Amino acid sequence: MVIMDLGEARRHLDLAKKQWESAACDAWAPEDAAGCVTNAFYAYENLVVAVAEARGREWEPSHYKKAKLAAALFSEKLLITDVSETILTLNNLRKDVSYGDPGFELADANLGDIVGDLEAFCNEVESIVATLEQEGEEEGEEDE
Amino acid sequence: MSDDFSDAAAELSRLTQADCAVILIGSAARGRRTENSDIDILFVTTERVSTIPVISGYHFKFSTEADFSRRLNAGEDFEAWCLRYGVTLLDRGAWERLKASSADVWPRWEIKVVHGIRRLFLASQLSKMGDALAAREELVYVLGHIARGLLLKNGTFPLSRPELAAQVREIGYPQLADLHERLRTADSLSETDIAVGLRYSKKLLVHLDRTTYRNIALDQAKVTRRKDDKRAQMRAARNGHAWDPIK
Repeated sequence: MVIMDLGEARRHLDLAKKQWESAACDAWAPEDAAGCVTNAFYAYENLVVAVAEARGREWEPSHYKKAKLAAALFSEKLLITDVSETILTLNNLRKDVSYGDPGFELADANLGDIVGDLEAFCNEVESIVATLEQEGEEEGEEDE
Repeated sequence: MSDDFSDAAAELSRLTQADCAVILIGSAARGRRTENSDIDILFVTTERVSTIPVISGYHFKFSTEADFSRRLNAGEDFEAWCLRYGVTLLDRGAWERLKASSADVWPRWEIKVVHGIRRLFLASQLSKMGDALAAREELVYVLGHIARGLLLKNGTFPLSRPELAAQVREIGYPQLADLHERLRTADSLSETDIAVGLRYSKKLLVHLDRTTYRNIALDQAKVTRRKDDKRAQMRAARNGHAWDPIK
C-alpha cells in the first residue's frame, strides 16, 4: 500500500518551481532553448510526481511511466490538465539537444508559451498540494 | 508498433512525398537495446515536414538532408555514427546519396568537449537544486560525450551507449567506464555518487581541452549572473502571486 506523503509532494513541487524559474530565465533574450526545454521537462515530471505523492500513488523513475501516470491522473480527474503529451514532446526536444543538435522543432518552439503553460500547471499542482496540506493541518488540530 | 520497426518507417514515410530515408540508430541498431532504452529512429528528407509524431518509447530524430550533410562535414559524431552503424529501414535515395558523398569523414573530438561542458553545467545546476534524478540523467549524457571525445581522439570510433564502458576501459579509463555504467544502471545512487561524477567529469573535460573548458566556464559565469538578475526580477514581479517566493 502506498501512503500519501505531503512532505515529498512539497519537495517535488519546490524543485519544479526552481526549474520553472530556470526555464523562464532561459526563455528571456538571449534565449537558451536547450536549457529552457530541459528545465521545463524536469519541472513537469516533478509536478506529476508531486501529485502522485500527494495522492498516495506509486510512481517509477521512468520518463514514459511518468507520462502515462500524468494521463491516468487526468483521466481520474485528479488533474485538470493532461500533460502526458507535453512530457513526451519535451523529452524528445531534450534528447535532440543531447545529440548536440537542437533541431528545427526546438528552433521553432515558442519558449514563452512553454514557460507560460508550465507556470499554469505549477499553479494547478500548488493548489492541489496546498489544499491537501490545509486539510491535513485541520485534521491534526481536531485530533488534538 | 511491432519490433521490426517497419510500422514506424511506414508512418514516417507517409509524412512526405519528398525523397526521404528512415534509419534505425542507437542501441537498437547495434542489437544492444535494453527494456529501458528508447528506440531511436532518424528521419532524413530533402525538405522539412510539418510535424513529427510523438510515440511513447520512440525517439524520432528529424533532419533535412542538407543539415545532415552540413553537420557531418562540420565534424559532428552523431551523423557519422548514423552513416556507419545505422540500419536502413526505408530509403527513397537520400541515404544512399549521403553515404556516397561522405564516407570517410572522421568526427572532431573537440566538439564532444564543448557538448560535454555545456551538459555538465546543466547537471551541476540540477544537482544544486536538489534534483538528484535529473542530475544523474544529465551526468550520463556528460560522461557519454567525454567517452566519445576520448575515443575519437584515440582513433577509435565510439559504438552505442551500452558499449562505451568496454571501449573506454580498453583505452585506459577504467574509472570512467565504471562510473558511466553505475550511473546508467544502478537502482539507486547517493548524493556522493553524483558529486563524484560531476567532479570527475570536470577533471576529464579539462584533461581533454583546458582552454575550451576555461573559455566556456567564463561565459557560463556571465550567464549565471545574468540569470540570477532575471530571477530576482521575476521574484519581485511575482509579489502577490499564488506562490511563495522560493528562498
